[in-house]
Amino acid sequence: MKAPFLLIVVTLFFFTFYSSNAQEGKLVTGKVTDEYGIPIESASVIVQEKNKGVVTDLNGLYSISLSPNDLLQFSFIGYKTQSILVGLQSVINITLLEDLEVLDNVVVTGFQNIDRELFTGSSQRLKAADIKLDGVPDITQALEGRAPGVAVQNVTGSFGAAPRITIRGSSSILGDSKPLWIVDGAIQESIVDISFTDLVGGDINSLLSSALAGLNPDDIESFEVLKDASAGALYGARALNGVIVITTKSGKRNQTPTFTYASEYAIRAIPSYNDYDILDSQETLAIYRQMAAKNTGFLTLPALIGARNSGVYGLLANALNTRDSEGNFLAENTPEGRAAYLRQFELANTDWFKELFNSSPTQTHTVAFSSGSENSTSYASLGFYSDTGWTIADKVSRLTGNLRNTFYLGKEGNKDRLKLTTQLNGSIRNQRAPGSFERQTDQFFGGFNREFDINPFSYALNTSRAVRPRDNNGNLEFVRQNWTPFNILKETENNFVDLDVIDVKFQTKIDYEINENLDYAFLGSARYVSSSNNHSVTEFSNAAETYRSDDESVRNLNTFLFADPDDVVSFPRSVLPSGGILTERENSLTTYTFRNTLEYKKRFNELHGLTVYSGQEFRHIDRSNSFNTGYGYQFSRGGTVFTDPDILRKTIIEGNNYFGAAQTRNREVTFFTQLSYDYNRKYILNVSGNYEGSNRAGKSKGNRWLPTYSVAARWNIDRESFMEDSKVFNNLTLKLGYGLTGLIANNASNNEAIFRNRVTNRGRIEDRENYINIDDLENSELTWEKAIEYNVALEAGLYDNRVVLGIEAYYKDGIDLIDLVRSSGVGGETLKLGNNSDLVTKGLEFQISSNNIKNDNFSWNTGFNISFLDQEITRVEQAPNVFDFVAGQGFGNAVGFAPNSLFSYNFEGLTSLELDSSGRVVTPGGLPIFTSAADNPDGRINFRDTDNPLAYLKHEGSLLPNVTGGLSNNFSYKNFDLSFFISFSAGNKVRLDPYYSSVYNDTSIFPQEFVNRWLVPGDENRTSIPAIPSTQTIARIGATAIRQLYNAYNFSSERIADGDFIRMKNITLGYSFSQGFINNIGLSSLRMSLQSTNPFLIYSDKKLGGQDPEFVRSGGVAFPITTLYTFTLNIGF
Amino acid sequence: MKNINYKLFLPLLSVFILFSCSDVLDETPDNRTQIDSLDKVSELLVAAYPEAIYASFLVPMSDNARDRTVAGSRPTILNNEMWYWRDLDDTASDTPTNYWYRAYKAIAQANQALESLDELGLIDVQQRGEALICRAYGYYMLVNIFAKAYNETTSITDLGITYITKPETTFLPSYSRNTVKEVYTLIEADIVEGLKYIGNDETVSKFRFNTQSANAFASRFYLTVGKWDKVIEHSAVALGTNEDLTTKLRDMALHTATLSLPEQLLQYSSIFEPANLLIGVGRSTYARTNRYSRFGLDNSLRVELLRTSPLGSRWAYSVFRNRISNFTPKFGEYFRVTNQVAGIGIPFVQLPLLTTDEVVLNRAEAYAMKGELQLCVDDLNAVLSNKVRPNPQPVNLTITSVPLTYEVNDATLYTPFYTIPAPSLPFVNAALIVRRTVFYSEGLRWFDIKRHNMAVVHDELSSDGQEVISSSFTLTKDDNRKAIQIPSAAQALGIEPNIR
Repeated sequence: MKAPFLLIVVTLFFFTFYSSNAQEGKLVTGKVTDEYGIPIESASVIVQEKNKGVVTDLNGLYSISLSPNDLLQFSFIGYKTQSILVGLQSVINITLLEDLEVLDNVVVTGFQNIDRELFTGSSQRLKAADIKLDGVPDITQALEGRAPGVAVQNVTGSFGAAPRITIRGSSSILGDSKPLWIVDGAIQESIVDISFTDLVGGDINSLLSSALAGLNPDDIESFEVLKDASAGALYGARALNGVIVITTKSGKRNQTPTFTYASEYAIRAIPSYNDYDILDSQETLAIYRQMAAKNTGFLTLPALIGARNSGVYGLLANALNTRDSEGNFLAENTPEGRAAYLRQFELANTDWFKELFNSSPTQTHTVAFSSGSENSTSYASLGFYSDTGWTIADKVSRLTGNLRNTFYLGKEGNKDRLKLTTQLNGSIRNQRAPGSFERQTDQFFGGFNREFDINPFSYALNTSRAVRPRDNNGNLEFVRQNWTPFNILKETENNFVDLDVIDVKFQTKIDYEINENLDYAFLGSARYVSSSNNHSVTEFSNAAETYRSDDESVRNLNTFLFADPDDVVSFPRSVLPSGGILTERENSLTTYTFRNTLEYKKRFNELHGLTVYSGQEFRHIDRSNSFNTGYGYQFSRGGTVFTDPDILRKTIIEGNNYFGAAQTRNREVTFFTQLSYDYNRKYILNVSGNYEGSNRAGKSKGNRWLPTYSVAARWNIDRESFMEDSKVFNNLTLKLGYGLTGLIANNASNNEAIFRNRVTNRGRIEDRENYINIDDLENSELTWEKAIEYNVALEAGLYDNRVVLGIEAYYKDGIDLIDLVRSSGVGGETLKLGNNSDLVTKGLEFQISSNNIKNDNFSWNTGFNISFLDQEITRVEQAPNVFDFVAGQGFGNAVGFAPNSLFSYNFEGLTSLELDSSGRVVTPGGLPIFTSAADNPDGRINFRDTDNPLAYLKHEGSLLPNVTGGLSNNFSYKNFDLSFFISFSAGNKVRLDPYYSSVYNDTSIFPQEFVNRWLVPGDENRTSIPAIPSTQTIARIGATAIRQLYNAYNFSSERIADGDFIRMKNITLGYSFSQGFINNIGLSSLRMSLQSTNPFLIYSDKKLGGQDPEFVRSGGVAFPITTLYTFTLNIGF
Repeated sequence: MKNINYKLFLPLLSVFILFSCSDVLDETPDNRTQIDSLDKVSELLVAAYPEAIYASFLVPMSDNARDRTVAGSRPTILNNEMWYWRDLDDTASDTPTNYWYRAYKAIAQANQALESLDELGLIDVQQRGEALICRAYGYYMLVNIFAKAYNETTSITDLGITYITKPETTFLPSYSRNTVKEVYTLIEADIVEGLKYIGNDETVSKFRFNTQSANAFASRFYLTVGKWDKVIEHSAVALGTNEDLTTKLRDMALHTATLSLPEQLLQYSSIFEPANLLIGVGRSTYARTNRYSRFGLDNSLRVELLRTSPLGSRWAYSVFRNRISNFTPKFGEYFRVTNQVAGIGIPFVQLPLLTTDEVVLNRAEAYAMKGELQLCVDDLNAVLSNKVRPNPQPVNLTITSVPLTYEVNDATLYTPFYTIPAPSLPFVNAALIVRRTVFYSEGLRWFDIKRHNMAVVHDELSSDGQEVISSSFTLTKDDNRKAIQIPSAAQALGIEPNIR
């Protein structure tokens, strides 16, 4: 623990101070500095045997009179104590090395700091400095591969979006699987509580999903990952998914005031088509030509007139009908004329990445100040992150401030009885993102879609390279989207989201020593986060103009027009005659945490150590969200509002709302007690109990409280007498743990029936009524989700800790997990949520770190960790439909498989063309065939089938990797240091991006393999790429059925790849200037480094064709993690 | 030091006391509603009506669906399976299973409303009446669909449905089935009790029970159990007094002559239609499938049912026809858009659940059974008067014309549990024939088939579009398949299946 250590040092310090007057023998002088040459003030210089010593002055200087045989000891808080035999020297300058062990020797649980030697739980400590990725503003990403058992999937790289983090597998099937974040003792909530599906959905809300987006990575000192029941015991009913405790930086006592300035400049690589297996414009046009051919029947003039979307052929159709100033048609309607016109697109080969992406650098600046006196310490920092945009549609800036003061009061003898810490953290974030509407799941046709998606990354990969941003004269060239002219460059300027987040946190901590054995502590924390985002769709954007496309040729097709139900004979018309749409969304979060604890600590007879820790905590979390859609806002006319009331009628009739607001409130009360006993620090037993209550079920008293507990033991084998003489082991420990953790199932809270108001579904607005729906019937048996955990760990330190090994195994029995069950219906609810599923998790974790070489000039450290995971659902009754199973959004749950498994339509081949005797087509060729249900001989695709779809779907694997790990190597030679970090993960499956469709148009883009598609009968024997269906084929099969069939191909066993990868995560080359040079220019430290983050993938499945195995491309605001080249400068004054 | 000690412990103590108190945990976690007033009970009842369509599965089972052959139609699984009287274990909208869940859902809303009324201590309120009638209606529909027809002798042992009167409070409780007799007894008790409280609240829309519609339902109920005096009594209340009966009935002659197709679709289930007493809305694609499903209105059936009326002139029902569609314009669709890009959403169909036409025809049948034949004929004429075209001049039915035109030659055609007196039989027959046309494609024919224990024959045509009977299927009078199978999920949780 930190406190006793401090105590000892402080004691020592006073002791030396009082005795420093007595001097004898010869005078020895010198200077005490740290590694960077900064003088250490108030370091103690003592001769232990003689009970005498001095402290250094402001400049780190000391003088003491000694005899030659004296052993001089130099010590200071946070530094390794060094001893030196005085001998004949009269000047002894000493450099104290920072004692990393000091921090490493305690486990920060967020409640207590526990002596690591006595800690019985499973935990992993990570120092922020070791893992920090320069130029990456959110530190959560840096956890990838660093701690065994912690799987980090960077499903999106957008600022503010959280990676998917799971600790020891997901513990809940339908519920939350995110870990609990603790910052300086208090739970750090994210502004919005979103599911995995939402996280990968690319919606605006995903930008608020990271709980740590408001934290400057430079302010973070360390992480402690609490993995098992015993480690997270005091978090009891919230620790089911593990806990990550973050400690931020603070000042040190008796420290010279220090300023540090760090700046990072990061350049992001622009993606390149070379990395993607995508056809160029020439190859693409060859496919369009096939589509335009007579027997296929697409891209014909009449079809293009009413087409919803069109590209180069649409431009051709226009050119054939438009005369230039001299009266000639822009394109001559002859085969040659048409070919000539199309040639310009054939040669375009647009590099959308170049058009839409920038390489301008991001900048990070952090100024930090820390100082410490006898009675107080302070740490203050100001951080600024600025990103002018990787693409033309996004940018971010973030300002963070952090102030932390600690006061030591009530000095009594050589102790401070009262320690008071106050903290103030704040951040302000302004972000622009591409205008994006909510992603919608289409379980009927099978797929996801989003209105007016203009995400530049998705656009570059979804849009034909034959389409051009500008025409030959350099003017913007418009294709057609949603019956309306569209140009991505114009659209990104006119359709955008501005997100502002303000995050403020106040925290106070009081530690008071009641008497020698009893300490009291209080923690109070209050945090307020407010986010507002304005989605501006200006009157010039395609998304607004679409509401006005009421041309005769398209008005009966355009669903954005209004067909008045009270005037059934009129044509659909525009109800947004002028202006655009301004949608404002607000989210806010208010949290309070209060905690009181008492700790009794005593050693009896030097042999029996006893600690009793108990306390109580109260948490208050309020969230609110609201939105308001303003139709007819005129951006170019000073914001004057011009609304046609019928647009509201259209919205309401269609069953949607144009504004809304909702709140959620959580109240949680916890009582906890922990008892630790150790015998001679050799055998340790720890028993914890936690009694937690929550308001999730409102007034209902049923199952409001959940008791959790854990028992764990530890055997420090190295303290046994038979180990004392070991030349190899300096540390050997065995830990055993058993415990129960829980999770408040937020998705089921019906201890009492839940009633919600709704509006009836009736066609006429006048017929609609308010009604109260029984959303959930009472379930008096509803309880928390739980896991019973067993953990065994062996740790060893060899050769004076030059090699440290750890191996750990665990078994988790998840019970009472929330499930969705089809009921008898008699009670009035078809599907009921209740505790009905079980999940078994087994895992093995291994890590090793070693100091391979260490001498004055050169050192080499290696760290390696790997963890294995095996999860199986043993009971579940929810019946996901086919789409849930194949879509890979976390709903593929079935007995015998891991949770969130991914399934596929089992591809069996392509149809061969079959003709009847009169030469008519019986079966068209080149259509995909999938294994289908026995009672579905036609093989019709039904994405909503829930009737045992596993009988015909193919199990591919889990979405969650079951092998994860990392390898780090750090070298230093003189002033240079070099490090690289490799992360890997394996065992999961990835769905390939959906490129296939029953109908393509002339903006469609095709993967390389498309050239191998079925073209002529017999091709079914050589290829598995389906044909482009002709209009006749579509008419034969039915437009709906064939659309479902081709979408099924996107979700088939053909469109799957291994998620395994080995990624070079980070390479850093650094140079620290020598002390002499620094002192000459008046600085205390100076370091420069170059870092490359995510430079390349060492291995990934070839089938991915450039697709990132971690990133889920869903459009909207989702951008992948990219390669960063960062230059970093650290200056200390 | 003592000072600090003291100051510190005071807040500590107060914090302990403040937060250990359980009150803070009573905070409502989100925007859920509490049922704390009569208005809220009323809002519970808005959802106490099954949000589902039954016509979609009852029509193909009845003799009102003929094979339109595969070539001229688009097959749908539901329509297909129901026509062959096979058990369909599908939960999609329009299916029997969907109706099961939705009807029980409506009953749960009613049960909750009753419980809330008890908690609020409100006894003599209109809402109590509505809740009881809603519950009775839900159970009536369930027992008629999922159990054998009411029969005074066999119903004592026939499996009915599970009848619960309290909200469910446990996760997956197991239930058993009451007998048909028990269910009917309980329904009757609810009706009798409910009618005591129900009143004509002007604020209650036609989507909910009022005095008129509750009595219309009672009229239907007593017709099923064969209590003729009660049918006449409740019909009279449902129809009101002192006014010309025909103004309260659906004027098809007028609608067909004056309204466009979209307007006719709206009018049929509109609150402005005086004939509509209770209107329901269900998630359904029936407005489309009814047009083109394989088994439905074919030409022969059109000629049989919708051409010449009993009054000699043509029926006023318009029939829209093309190669694949053949339908009477009764169902419009409300499409609630959930995904504008994909063009998908949730289709709803609105349809009349109880009408004055039905009430009058119920009463006509009851009069016939009681031997009050003139009154029966008057009622039939009232219904027919505005369902037929004005020329050629319609000729009203009379006591003498009915036995001639509607003589029943096959003595086993109607075999209800009671005996139809010989003089009444042609009149009962006439009433049933009129009902078959007037409620065409609304699903009520199925209940008549069950009530009168009729057999149904389905002829399958050869698939090449030629109207040649390739095989014939019969649903016999006491066929077990007349009770639609209990949903498999309910069976899995211990509810006894119907015999097959």
